Amino acid sequence: MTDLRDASDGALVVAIGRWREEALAEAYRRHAGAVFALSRRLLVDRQMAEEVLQEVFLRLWNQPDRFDPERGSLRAYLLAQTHGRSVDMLRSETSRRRREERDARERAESVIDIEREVIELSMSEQVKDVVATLPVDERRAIELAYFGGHTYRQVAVMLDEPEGTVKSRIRSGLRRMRDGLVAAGLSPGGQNGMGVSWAEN
Amino acid sequence: MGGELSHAEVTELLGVYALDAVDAAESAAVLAHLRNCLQCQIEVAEHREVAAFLAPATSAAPERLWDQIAESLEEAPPPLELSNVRQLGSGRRSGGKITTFAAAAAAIAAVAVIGVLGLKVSDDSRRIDQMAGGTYGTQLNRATSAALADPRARLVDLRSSGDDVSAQAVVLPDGTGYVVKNNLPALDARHTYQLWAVVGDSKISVGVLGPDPGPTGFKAAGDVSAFAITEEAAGGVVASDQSPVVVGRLS
Repeated sequence: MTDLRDASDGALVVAIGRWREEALAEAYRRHAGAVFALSRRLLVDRQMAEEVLQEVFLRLWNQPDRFDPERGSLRAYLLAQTHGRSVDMLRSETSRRRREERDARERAESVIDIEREVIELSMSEQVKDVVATLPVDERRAIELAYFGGHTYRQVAVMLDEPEGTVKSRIRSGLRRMRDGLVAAGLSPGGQNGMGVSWAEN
Repeated sequence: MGGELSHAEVTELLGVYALDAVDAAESAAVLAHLRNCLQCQIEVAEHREVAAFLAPATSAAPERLWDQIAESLEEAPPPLELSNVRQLGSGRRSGGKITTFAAAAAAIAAVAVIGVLGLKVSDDSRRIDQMAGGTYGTQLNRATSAALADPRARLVDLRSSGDDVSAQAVVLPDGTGYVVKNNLPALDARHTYQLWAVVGDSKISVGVLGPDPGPTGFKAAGDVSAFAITEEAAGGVVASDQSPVVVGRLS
C-alpha cells in the first residue's frame, strides 16, 4: 500500500495496532534487514538469526503497545529486542558450550581484533567516524559487550580491568558516542527519537 | 546480586544494562527500579538509541521469512475482516463470576444506550497500551493520579448486574481515560477483556485490556455516553456479539 510506504514508523505501529498486516509488512521491509544483520552478527548461526527475526516481528504484531514513540525510534526498539533475544540465545547452554570451545582456541586479543574488523566493515562511514573518536578503552568495552554478547564481568576479565571500570567505560562511551552522533547530525533520540529517518533503510 | 538496588547503584549499571551486558539477577533488579524511575528509563532509552547506530548498516532479510511470519499471523490476531465477527459461545468459560447473558442483559437494560454490543463495526478498533506492567508504569500511575485530581474529569463506575464485578475509570474532557481499578476475574491466555465506548449508536473498541487487566490508559474519541467491558478471544475483536461483563455511564 502506497500510503503505508510513506507513513512514519509511529503511524505504522498504530496501523499494526489495528491489525493491518500490510503495516507489519512495511515495518519488515524497513527494518528486517538491520534486525537480521545484528542477530546474524551476534549469533553467527543463520538459522538462529532467522528465529530471532521472526520472534521480533511477531512480538511487534502481538504487542505493538510495547513500543513507545516518545522513547525512541522503532529501529532502536526493534534492535534492542533483537539484541536481547540474541544474547539470551547466545548465553544458552548449547551456545555457551560452543563459544567456550571457540574461546579456548582463540586468544582474547585476536578475538577483539576480528570483532573490530567486522564491526568497522559493517558500520556507516559517519558512525564509524564517531566510534573512532572514542577512547580505545571505552570502544573495546562497548564492542565486546554489544557484539560479543559478553556481560561486563566477562569483559572485565577479557580486558584485565576491574568490573567497575568496565561498567563506567561503557556508560561514558555511550554518552560520548551520543554527543558525537548529535554533532555529526545523526541526532540519536533527538526530538523524541525521531530525528533520524529510519525509513530510508 | 539480589534484592533492591539504590538509585546510585542502578545508575552505574544503566550503560551495561542497555547493552544486555548484565547477568539475570542484575537485569531483574534494574528492571524493578526502572518501573519507578523516569530518569533512568530515559537514560536506558538514550543508550539503546545510540547502540542502534552500532548495528550493521544495511542487509537484506530473507524474503521467505516474511512469508513464514505472514502465515503465522493468521493464527495469532483476530480477524481483519470487519464483517467477520467471531461468534463465541456463552459457555466457553466456566466457574467464573462473569455475568451470564441474561444477567448481563439486565445490566444492559440499566444502561439502555448500550444494548448488546457489537452491532456496528468501528474503524477505531485498536489495541491500547498495557503499561502497568511495563517500564512506564510510574508514568501511568502519575497520569492516573493527575486525572483523578482533575476537577473536569468524569468518573465511570462499571458494574455487573450482580454488582460483584466492577471496574472504575476516569475520563478527561479530551477523551483520555484510565481504567483505575477493577476486580475482573483473570482469564486464561486465550481470552482477553476488551473496553468499548458508546458514542451515539456506535460501540467503539477503545482497547484490548488483556486477560488480567491492571491500570490501563485509553483514548476515547467523540461524545461518549457509556463504557462497557466484554470478554473476547485473545487479541480482541473489531466488533463484539458478547454481552458485557460490566457496564457504566459517564457521571
